[in-house]
Amino acid sequence: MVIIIDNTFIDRHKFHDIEYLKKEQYQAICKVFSIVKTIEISKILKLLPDCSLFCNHKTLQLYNNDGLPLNLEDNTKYCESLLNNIGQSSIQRIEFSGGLETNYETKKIDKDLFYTNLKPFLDYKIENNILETKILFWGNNFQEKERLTIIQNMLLQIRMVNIREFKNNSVIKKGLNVLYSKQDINKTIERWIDSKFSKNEIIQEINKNI
Amino acid sequence: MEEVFILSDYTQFFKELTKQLEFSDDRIISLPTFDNESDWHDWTTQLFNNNTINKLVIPISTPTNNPINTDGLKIALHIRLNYELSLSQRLTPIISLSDFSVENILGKNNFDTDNNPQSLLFTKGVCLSSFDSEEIRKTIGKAEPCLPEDYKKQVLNKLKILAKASTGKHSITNAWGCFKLAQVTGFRDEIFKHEAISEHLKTLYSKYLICYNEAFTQEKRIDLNTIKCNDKKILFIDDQADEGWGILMKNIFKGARNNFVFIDSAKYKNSETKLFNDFEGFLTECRSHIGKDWDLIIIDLRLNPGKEDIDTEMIPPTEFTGYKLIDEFLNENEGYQIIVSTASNKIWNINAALERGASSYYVKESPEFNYSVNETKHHYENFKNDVQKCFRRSYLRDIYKDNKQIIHNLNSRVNSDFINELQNQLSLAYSLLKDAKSDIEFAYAYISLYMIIEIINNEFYTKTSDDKWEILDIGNLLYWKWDKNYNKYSNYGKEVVGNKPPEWQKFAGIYYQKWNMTDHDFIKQLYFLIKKRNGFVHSDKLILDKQDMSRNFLNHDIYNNVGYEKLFKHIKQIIGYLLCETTTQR
Repeated sequence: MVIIIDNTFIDRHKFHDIEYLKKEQYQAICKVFSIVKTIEISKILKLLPDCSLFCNHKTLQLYNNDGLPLNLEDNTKYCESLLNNIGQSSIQRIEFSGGLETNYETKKIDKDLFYTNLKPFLDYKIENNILETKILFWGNNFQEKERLTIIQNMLLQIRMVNIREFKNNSVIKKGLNVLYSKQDINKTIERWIDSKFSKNEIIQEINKNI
Repeated sequence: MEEVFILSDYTQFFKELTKQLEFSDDRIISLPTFDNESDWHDWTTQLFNNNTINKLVIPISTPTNNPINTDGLKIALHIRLNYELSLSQRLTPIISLSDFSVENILGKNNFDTDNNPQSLLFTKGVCLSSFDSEEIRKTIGKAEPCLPEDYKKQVLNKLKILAKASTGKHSITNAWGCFKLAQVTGFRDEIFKHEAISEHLKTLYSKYLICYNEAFTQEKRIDLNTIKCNDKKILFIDDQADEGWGILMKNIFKGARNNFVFIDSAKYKNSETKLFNDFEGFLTECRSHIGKDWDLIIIDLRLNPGKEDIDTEMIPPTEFTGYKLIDEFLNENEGYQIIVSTASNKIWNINAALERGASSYYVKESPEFNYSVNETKHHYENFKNDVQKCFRRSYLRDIYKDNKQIIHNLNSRVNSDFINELQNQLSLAYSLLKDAKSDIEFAYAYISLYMIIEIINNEFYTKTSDDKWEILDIGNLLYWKWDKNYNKYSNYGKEVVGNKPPEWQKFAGIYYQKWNMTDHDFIKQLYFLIKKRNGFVHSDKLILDKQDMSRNFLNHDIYNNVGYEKLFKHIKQIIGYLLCETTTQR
């Protein structure tokens, strides 16, 4: 299950279609909490054993039992307590906020992007039963992004390595495999050597095949 | 040798590349990790302030642990739009590096749809090169900057930068409006230091708008004359007072010194989330200022943005907390001069406040309109004029307060048609004064107030069968006349007979004979106040245009509030005497 806590969720309908979250199949895998009162924190904690991904607004505002925002001191105390519980578990955590620099490594994501990619992320979970968090960061075509990353790394290696060493370079081989999946990559490399291709010519050819 | 710098992550590849290109260590720049757009802006500012950079080489996909990206173009955008840099720094030639072809760069990458950094590739001063060192060298050699005069045409017009969909509209408008007003009033630097303001102004969207209108560099168009407000008492109520507006307004109204008061909204907010955690406390403090002698009150319409700044919901303007506060202030004193400020461009919201009695309005500038600095200055001039108009009309506050007190006192003492008539006439006169804009309308208000004297005279006099004028319970009206020898009014026992006597004389009878008052100067002044009224009613130029020794017109103040205030001072005293008498009667 995915748990999302976002005190700004009330405004979300202005920017994204979030009606789908009310549907049964999404409710079953994703719970959104907006105005979280201190009394409700225990309810969230009870859900943690079934939770695989916890997403929270970076500047999370919690509310007292009258529905009023907590002051800074109390808010920090309750937020830390809640997040400590997540930290001590094996649950993945993602922070999102408006204007936050998206970074897959540090698991931080711009709020707009988070909600843009939330539906494809949940759809992927429903269809494949896999929580693929890369979708939240890069969207549905995350595989294309991974493919391009592999090709980019290959291009850098091609610049660095002597053409005769290509066959022994794992980064180049991985890239060529991605690019020419149906071909014998050794033959491709030999063709480049035999034709006395310059590195610029090799890179041009790769670009034509991306 | 030109000062050419390159962005590198010091991986083996870049070490070799920079070696081949013969970049010395001090020309190689490493890229930090950024948390938000503000960081990108600050980093580019420091980069150019700490180095003399003639050309800059940046890989399109920055060499970090992240997968393929287009952050290099984003850095270039932040440089091109960094209004804190000189224009020549902003236009530094940039050599973008990628081994992907242009078709693949454009076709395979997912670009940020708000900033569209790919559009930069088609602007002047940006060159694309592969990672081939020879090509890089050649490209550096031929890279030319865009000329400053072509900045708009060749760079800005080719970019496509949009507002981020969900960045709090209220917050960005607040920051933008505050910055724009600060810009034309000479407080830009002070406001820009405010993190709540600058974090919004360092986003690419705001930067683009600022660069487009050169809004950061037009010092010559700044109006350094702050609003004249010495000794004026000004109250400023805005939920964003803690986010720049409080300081800005304090500076704009610095002539008022400690008489400028703003509610410190920070006291009632969570300092991290910037949300109210004690809105009632904030409201209570606002209400504590009701009844004080403010010359001007500026109130934001939507004070509780969490509940009132919801664009998709049609909230009636009368439900806004700002509107309710305006209503409460005016219920206490209709004479308060209130300027309603709002970031909303919805005219019906403003109209509702004006209909309730606000004097004017100030619309905080929104980035949606992106006014030029000259337009902003014009906007500020309008605000200044409105403020001065409010100051000029602040006499209404005291008149309303006294009027209300008099009506209340009358109400509590006697209940009769006579008292009701007096109360109605006082209300009518004030109402005419409040709405008076032209000379003639001020004169009508004056005449309406004068009617109080006629109402009192009518109440106390009956004409006798022998053609005399009897003062109720006292006797006949005596013939009061100014005696130059004794410098006072005398009657020598003579009674008024026949024709209707002038109103001042009738009132003198009540004053001297019924109330036993002795201040002759009071009646003398009343005589001239009534004569002024007669001059207007009978279009008597000799009276109206009468001048003193210094050639000042003595009676022209009937055409403004001064005449009304003089007459009102007398009416207050007269009703005071009347109330003393009725109390004695009880």
